[in-house]
Parts: sequence; C-alpha cells; structure tokens
Amino acid sequence: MKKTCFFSLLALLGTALAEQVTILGINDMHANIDGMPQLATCVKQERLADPGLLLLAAGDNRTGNPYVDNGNRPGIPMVTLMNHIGFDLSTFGNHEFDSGPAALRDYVNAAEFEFVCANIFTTDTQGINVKPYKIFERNGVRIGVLGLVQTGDNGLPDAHPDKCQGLQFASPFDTAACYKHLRAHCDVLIILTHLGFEDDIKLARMFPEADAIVGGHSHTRVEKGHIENGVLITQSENKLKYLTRLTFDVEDGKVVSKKSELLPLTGLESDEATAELVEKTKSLPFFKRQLTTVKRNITRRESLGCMMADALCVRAVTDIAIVNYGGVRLDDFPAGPLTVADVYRMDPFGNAIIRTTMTGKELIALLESIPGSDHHGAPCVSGMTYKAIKPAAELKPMRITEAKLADGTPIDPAARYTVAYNSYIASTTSAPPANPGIAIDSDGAECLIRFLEKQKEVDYEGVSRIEVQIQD
Amino acid sequence: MIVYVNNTTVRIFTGATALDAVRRYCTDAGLPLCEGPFYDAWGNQIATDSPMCDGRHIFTTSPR
Repeated sequence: MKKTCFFSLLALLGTALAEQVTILGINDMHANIDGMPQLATCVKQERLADPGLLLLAAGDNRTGNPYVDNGNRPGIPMVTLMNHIGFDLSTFGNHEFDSGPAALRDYVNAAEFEFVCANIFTTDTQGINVKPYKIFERNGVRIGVLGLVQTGDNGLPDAHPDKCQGLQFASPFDTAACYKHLRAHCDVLIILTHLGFEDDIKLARMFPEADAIVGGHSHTRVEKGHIENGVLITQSENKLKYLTRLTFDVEDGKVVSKKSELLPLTGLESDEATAELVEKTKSLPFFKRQLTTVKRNITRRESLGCMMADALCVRAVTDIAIVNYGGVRLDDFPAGPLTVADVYRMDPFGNAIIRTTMTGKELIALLESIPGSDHHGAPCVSGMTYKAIKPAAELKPMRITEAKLADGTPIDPAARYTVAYNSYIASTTSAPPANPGIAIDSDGAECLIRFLEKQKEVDYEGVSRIEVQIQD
Repeated sequence: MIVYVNNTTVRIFTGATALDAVRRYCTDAGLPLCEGPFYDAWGNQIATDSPMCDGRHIFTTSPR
C-alpha cells in the first residue's frame, strides 16, 4: 500500500489522501515448479515497493507435473512453494479437484493462505475449509475478494465427475449475483475467478459493481487489462510466464483510477531459497519407483506400442486402443526393472486419451489414415490385429486387407466398437469418426503407469499384432 | 463439441485444447499444421493448451 500525495496542498486542506492498492494476480500455474524461483524474485521486488500488496492465485495451481500430482500427497509440493512465497489467497480451478475430495482437504489444510470460492458447497464433515470471500484491510482500505470456479454442462467443474463426489456447485453467475452487497463493505472489490476470459466478460457485464476480475482458466495473455462495463479484467496466460500487477488509486473509499500490466517472469534471476525448495521437491523418489519387471528383452518398437495400447484399453475400458507408431519413443527395452522414468521416456508427450465409439468401417478408415498424419509406421493396436499394404511413399495411405478382434472374429464394418486413442491422432487424422469422443481423465503415461504397477512382471517380447507389406 | 477456428466450424472431442482444435482445423482444410500463436476474439494471445468449451472462437492470426 503506497500513499500517493499527488496534491499535497489539497491534503493540507483536509481532503482525503489517495491510497494506492497493489494486487498481484497469477493463474493456471499448473504445477510448473521450475518457474517458482522467478515468481519469488518478482514478488520480493514488488513487496519492496509495496509491502502491503496482496498476492492472489486464480486457480489451477496444480496439475501438469508428476512431481506435484502423483506423489503420496497430490498437490502438496505446490502448496508448500506457495506458502514459501507468501500467497495471500487462492480460488479453486477445475484442476484443484483432480485427486478427489480427500486430497483436496489435505491440499487446502496444508495452505497457510485461504481459499475463496462462493459457488462450491461442502459439508462440515468433509473438512474442506473454503469461504465465499475474504475482506482484507490495508491502511484503512478494505479490499474484498470473491472467489468463483467454472462449471460445465454437468454442473461440475471440468474435472472427472468421480473426483467431485460429495461436492456441490452452483452456477458462478447466479452465485455472483448474490454477493453484490459486498460493494457496500469494500473500497476495492475484486472477483478472483477461474471461469475463462469469455465468461469473465459475461460476469463483468452483469457485475459492474466489481472493480476488477482477476481471472484464469482460458490461459489468456491479457496484456494491459481489458475494461468491460467498467470492470478491469486481467489474466496472465499460464505456467508462470507472467504475473499481473493491478494498481488501484482509492480516494474517500472509492477507486478513482485503476490499471494493470503483465510482468514477465521468464529470464528473471532465481530466488535461491525457493530454488532449493524446488530441488528438494524434485529429489523425491517418484521417478525412480519400480513399476514392474520386464521378463525378457523387448527388441521391437511395435511390441512396446502393443504394451502402451493395452494400457489404454484397460484404462479407458474399450474394445480397442490405438497408439500411433511415432508416439512410441523407445525402440527396445532391456529385461529387468521398469521405472516411472522409463514410462516418461516411452511416452513423454502428455497427450490426452480420448474414448469414443465408432463403426468397424470408421475404425478401418481411421487406422488407414494414421501413417499419413503420423509420418511414422503403421499404428500399434490392442484388442485387435490387422494386415495391411502400405505404399513406400510416406504420405500415401495404408490399406487394410484384413482386421480381426483379439478373439479372431473379423471386424464388422457395421458393428460399433469402443475405441481409445490419443489426442494427437484425434486432431490430425484425415478420417475422424462421426463421434469425436471425450477426453478421459488421464494421459498416455499415466495409463501406462497404472497398467504396469498392477503387474509383477510383463513379457511383451515378440508380441506383434500387425502385418504390413510395403509396396513400391 | 463445436468450436470455431478462424470463423470455421470445427468438431473436436470434449476436453480438447486450442492446439487440438487448430490441428483439426488445419487437417480438415488441408493446411500445414499450425502450432501457434493463437488468439481469442478480443485479440488476446492464448496458450496452445487453452481449454476449449463449446462455441468458443479462436484464431490463428490476431483478429484485431
């Protein structure tokens, strides 16, 4: 909080002094812990200028980094770093719910800052300590922050519905309308949202009483702040590329001017203490964990692709799964232990897994199209086998001459099958099925980890489900 | 789910990102794959992993 005496003569005459309020907003950090030392440096610099500033997070603090998401306590490494940097408040993003209510309780309780979200309803027994809003006071200026999280068509945030069990949500817009009274109790009123820029525009149109919306979810880079219906809307893209600084001049309990700007974080010097904490997080034995034992040397890439496709089939509960040949990043694997790190070497892409239904005819067309977009070999499969003729020219489509289910039954062009494949195939195939499908709550590596950790030993040497004849 | 890339209707899977939508758009249109930057209808740059929702408009060059 800085006192800006623009007109000292007026002050001497008894007119109220202008107070300057600084808010730092960040969103969608997505567990990018490597960016936290730069954030710490920037926040420290800003606090030198204004020790009373508020540091707010607009949700999706976690999810996006196995060190943070897949440990014994999901999300906690990120909260620990946020505590260290001194966050004042956060709202929930849809990914805060990714590990279910028990993990959310642990995450919220580990935070030394509070969470605000007005459109979530929890019970006392759930122990998730969240308030709809919080009012801070800095040098006599009251700064209210109301929290809101997005909900989708199913009335839940965009997380797996199973992970939101026991939690109830209301529309963020209907909820916001119930909190207009906050205006009377605050000199500066901020809405900390995880709705996306377009819905922040909608919110500003119905809530002109707010001074600013510090938003998230759509990963939008709002360079200088967007004014909609008199409300300043900000967002700082994602993954700690930027921090937004909002400044408000307040006179006689009213905001008389406001602005925002993005502060780049990349390239800043690392804060040493925060960097040490990040290194400590990364020294956790997560990646060294042995998942299974490979019985015999796996000598073919296709065999590894079959293993990856089997993992998708099991995780997505489908008849068939497809992995593009270019999606298999190892050519072979030695007998012995297979660790989490090996899985990420095999599938480093983090592509979402899609589950859909399609006819046998669509399935054949999809498989035939994949080498043309993947620019690698014929796709690996689970739940089926096929024979194909592929012209030597890379871009010419493959032609499937025979396709059978795993039990030997021919694929029926008219029958419908459930099929899983990754988002790269979904987005680049020239023969997409009529039903584009839904992304399941998992990526390829996570499917493989879950698949392998349930098996003491795997033996994929010699496994082959495709027979491709190359034609000149 | 329907989104609009450069004002063209694109059908994508639920849970797709901006990159998925633009890849689908490029493939459908026979264009080389575009990996970004992408923009929203207000000319703000959006990250390639920006989550898509039904009816969202995105652009491969700034609409402003």
